[in-house]
Amino acid sequence: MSIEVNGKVIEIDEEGYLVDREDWSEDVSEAIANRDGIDLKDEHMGLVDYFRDYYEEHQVHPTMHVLVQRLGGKIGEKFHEHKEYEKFLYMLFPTDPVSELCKLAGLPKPLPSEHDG
Amino acid sequence: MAKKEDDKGTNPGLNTPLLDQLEGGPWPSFVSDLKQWSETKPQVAQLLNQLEESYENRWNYWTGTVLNVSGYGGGVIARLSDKAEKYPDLAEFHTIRVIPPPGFVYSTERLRNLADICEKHGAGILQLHGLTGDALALGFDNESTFAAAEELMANGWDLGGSGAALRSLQCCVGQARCEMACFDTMKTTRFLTNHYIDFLHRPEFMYKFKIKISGCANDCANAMIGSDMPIMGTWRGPMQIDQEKVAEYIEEKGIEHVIDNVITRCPTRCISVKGKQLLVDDENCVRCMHCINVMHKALKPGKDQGVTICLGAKRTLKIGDTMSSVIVPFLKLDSEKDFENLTDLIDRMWEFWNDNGMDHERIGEFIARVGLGTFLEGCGIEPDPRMVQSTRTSPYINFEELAPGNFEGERTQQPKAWNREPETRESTS
Repeated sequence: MSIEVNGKVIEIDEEGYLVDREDWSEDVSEAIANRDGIDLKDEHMGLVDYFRDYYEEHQVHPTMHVLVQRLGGKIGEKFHEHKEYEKFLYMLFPTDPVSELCKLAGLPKPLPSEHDG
Repeated sequence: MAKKEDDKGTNPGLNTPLLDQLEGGPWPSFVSDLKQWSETKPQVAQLLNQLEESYENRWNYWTGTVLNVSGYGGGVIARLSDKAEKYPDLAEFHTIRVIPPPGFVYSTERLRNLADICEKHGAGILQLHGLTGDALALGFDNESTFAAAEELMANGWDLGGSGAALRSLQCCVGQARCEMACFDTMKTTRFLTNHYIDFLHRPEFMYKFKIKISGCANDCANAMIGSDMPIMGTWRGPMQIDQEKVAEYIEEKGIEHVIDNVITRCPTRCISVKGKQLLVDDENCVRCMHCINVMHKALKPGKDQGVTICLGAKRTLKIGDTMSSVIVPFLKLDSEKDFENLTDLIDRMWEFWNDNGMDHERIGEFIARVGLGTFLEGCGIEPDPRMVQSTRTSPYINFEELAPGNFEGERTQQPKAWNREPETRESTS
């Protein structure tokens, strides 16, 4: 599978993750987002940049925990009110914010978490 | 389902000598059931064949992947088969977790509805219920997962928790069907599920968090060993004794029976028999429920009922298997205010755990790492002598900080280990 961005053919796998991570550019993000039916706005791109910076620093993509903890910060008085930030993320990326952002940021596909028990 | 001998090998595609051994014996066999079912659903025959191959080679041919229904962060356990060329129908064989009704009490109509949806879209295999407390529907591919989820939701079902989220809550039947229950387990389950539904659907924790709810210390929901936060029914004050029924019981069974089965089996020896009356030293009673279970007509839990909240059971990961220990010895759970207290407590514990826990660390491991004192301080809970993991085996206590000083006043000699300065190496440059 491949997409064409600015006249250049870029290899992606069947779910849309980049085969070669060096291919990434903002236009590539946009092309992948179009493919998934997401209209990229500044909020989306800010998160994509955060993912790329975080990955460069830690060699691992941020988890939902990190996003809610660091970007969401403390919202409201009670703990369960901090879910508002996660709701916002799901509003931006309805399917799965972390996988989708990894895809748009040109990072490897997230591994499945432990579902057992 | 009765086993039918003629069903064996009716499906020509099946070749399962090892699995066939599981059909022997008088008990029902999943192999017989699935063989029968494989005539309707071809993927079930492939499932059996793959399992046979697994048995033969002692290898597991499933690979996990990520698949999410829109708006949900969990609820689908996605599995791909490594033998997809050989078993094409198993290429995608996902499981959907469905939140069951509290206490696992279904009307037959609802159960039929669930079964119909799962049969229509998937392999039509239900697992009631997994240890997570979900109803599991097996055998969906990518498209049918979404279709089935849509239809389940349209029919009033909802997807359960998976991944690093709050898992579906599970409870015993409680006051709906049981005279031992000390609080309304089903109401509590429903309330907590609704209150924390976001935490259930969208994983965000370090690792999973399970809440199980048992109406009394008999623990029919397996809460004490199987959940991070068991909520157990208990009572304070004296238990209820009907001395007339005690006398009847003694007349019927004989005093020896009572002594052998009730008095000597009390873990704290707080119960004794005098004539035809039972005497209970309630201060020493640990609410183990044994005497009440044996003499259930004569004895009943006390009138002032509530819950004990424990914390920390888990299977091995960072530290070995643990059982829960008490974190709140007694909490009333009747009015709305009480439920608010409960959610407030859960909020505080989650916040501290979430802010300070490490990756893949369950709350029991977190407490083991930071210490119970730190944890209680972080959550704003008062320490209590009843918060014990296990009783002490040595009667000697060494209170360093409480030890008297020397007669002169100040302590002059510290123990060597305390006194030693940490070694510092000077750099040679």
